Parts: sequence; structure tokens; C-alpha cells
Amino acid sequence: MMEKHVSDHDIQAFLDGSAGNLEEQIRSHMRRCDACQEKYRQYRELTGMLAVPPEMELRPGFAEKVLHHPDFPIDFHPEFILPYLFSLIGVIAACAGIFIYLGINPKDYFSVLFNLSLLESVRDLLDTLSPAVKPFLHVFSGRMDMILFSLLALVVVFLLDRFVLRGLLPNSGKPSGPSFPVLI
Amino acid sequence: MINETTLVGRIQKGDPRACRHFVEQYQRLVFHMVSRTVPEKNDWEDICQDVFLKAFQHLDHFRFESRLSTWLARIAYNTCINYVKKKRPLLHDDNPGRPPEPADNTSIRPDHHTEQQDMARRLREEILRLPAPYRTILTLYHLEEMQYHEIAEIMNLPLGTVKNYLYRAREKLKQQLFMKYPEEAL
Repeated sequence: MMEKHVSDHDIQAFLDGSAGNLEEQIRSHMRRCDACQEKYRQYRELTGMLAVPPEMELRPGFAEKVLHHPDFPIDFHPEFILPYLFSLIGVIAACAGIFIYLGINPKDYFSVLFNLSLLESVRDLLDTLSPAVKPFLHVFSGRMDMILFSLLALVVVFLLDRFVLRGLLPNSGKPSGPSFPVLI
Repeated sequence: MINETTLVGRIQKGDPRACRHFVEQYQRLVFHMVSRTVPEKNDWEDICQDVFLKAFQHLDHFRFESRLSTWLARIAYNTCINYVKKKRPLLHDDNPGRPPEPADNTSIRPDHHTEQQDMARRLREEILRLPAPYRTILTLYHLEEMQYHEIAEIMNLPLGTVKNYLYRAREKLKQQLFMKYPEEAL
């Protein structure tokens, strides 16, 4: 029989469920002892309060802040970035394809957005600076459709390479190491 | 949920989504540890950022001998303790006479507080009076629900010491809190 009050240590152990053999003794003592019951109640209230998370949290966008920190030590592998880049190019190329299919000259639309006279001035400047750039400029003048088709072809080649050709070759098309499921 | 081996592998291969996932998964743990251990709340975000940068830097040294959260918590604990030591060398050992920093909402009149907010504020003040290792143990045990052996590993302390510190911390809090604020006030 326990004559003395239960110690703070034992009451905490009882509360945490780690009192072991003492558990029944402590319980029966507390049934009779108001002081120990009160001590137990205070500890229970305290542990309840301690389990409440702080009201403040890190602000949204914290992860981006870490990833864009100048000291961030990991170089992002192009394998993970290129798909986004090529998707963008694909969208641009698709738009260009629609323009060409409908027989619309993109220059008419772009001229609304960009001041082409500035481009002409740059071209004149280059023209006077070096006669060597003339043939280069000549190829591109009035050949917007060619440029866009080239871009489109580039995208098609990339997609073919990534999703078709690599799969046909043995031990290719997958990065070395384990294969990874989609994360989020 | 993605497993730790896969996550670490993807981070090491330079997958930005995996890096973001790692930060988002553990930022709560790191923030809890920092906010409970470091009193200067203006520095919390910078310290959390520092913890993650160190983690990414040393991820190659992670040997999967413990959980990733335990490993990260150890980095967070060491970072916090170094910060606290640098700021106030005495704080690490004990912090007997130092008054706690004003709580976030001290400018609000007391009669506008809810009872729960008031209790939380008082508890925060009392926790800030405890030594830094006590504060960390309370956080890891009660907020993160970690086991004694995990806490011992994080803080590099014997298991018995962790248990002892936890009991002492709670005993101190109980005495300070319930003596200062009798039952009816709480």
C-alpha cells in the first residue's frame, strides 16, 4: 500500500503511459487522495496545452524562397526542366501553325505589339556595319513562316526522341537508378 | 506519401518538385522547433531557411540510419542552439531572470482576449523562461509526438536525460503556471 503521495515524476510517467508496474498503485492511490488527483489534473491540463501548435506558421511560398536562395546547393537537372521549356515552345509552334494554315501573316499581328520600325533601324545599322551579315538577314526577311515551321519541326523531333525513339533502344529512355513515381 | 529513399534520390538527381516537396513536408517540424527554441521571432524564417539549406547541402551524408525527420530535426536543433549561444551565451544553460519577450498580441487589450488565447500566451511566456534544451524536448515530445529515443538521437543526449529533462520541464511549468495563475484563473 502506498502511504506517501505520488511523486511528480510518477504522475507524469502515469500520464505518459510509461509507469509500468506502478500504474495500478498510482491509480488506486489517486482514487483516495484529492491532492494527487489535483496534481494529476494539472499535469493533464498542461500536456493538453503543450500539444496545441503555435498559431503562427511559415508564410506561403517559403519553399520557393529556399529553392531560389543564392546558396541553394542543388543544380536542377535539365531533364526535369526541358519538358516545361519544350511544352512552351510547342504551344508557340502550334499557334504559329494555325496562323499559317489560315493564311494569316503573323507579321501583321506582331506589328501591333512590337514596333517593327525599331527592328528595321537595327537591321540598317547592322547593314552598314558589316556587309557580311547581309545574306543572313536576307534569309530571314519575310520568312517568318519558315522560322515557325523550323520550330515546330524541332518540337516534333524532341517529342519523337523523348517518347518514341528512346523507348525502342535498349537501356535507354530512362534515367539511371530507380524509376520514380509522380510526386504530388 | 512518397518514401524517403525515393525522395532523397530525386532530390540528388536535381528534381525541383522533389526539393519543393521535401521543404513543404518538413517545414512545420522545423518551424515548431525554431519558434519554440529561439525567442527572437523576427529571425525565425531566416533560421528555418538556414536549416533547409544545410539539409540540402549535406543530404549526401544521410545514410538512412534514422528517419529523415529525425536527421532534419538534428540539423534544426544544432542550428537553433548555435544561434541561441551566439545571441546569449547564458541562455543555453539557464535563463532564470530574463523576462520573456512580449507576446505577439500584447497591444490588444486583455479584455479582448479569449480565455484560450490568454492561457496560450501565459504558457508561451513560461516556456521562454525554460532553458533551450527543455524547450526543444517539450516541442518534440508534445507537438511532434516523437519517441524518447528519437529525441535522444536528435539532441545527442542519453535517453534517461531526455526523460529527466522532460519531467523537470513540465514540473517547472506546472509550478510556475499554476502557482502564478490559480486554477480559477485558468
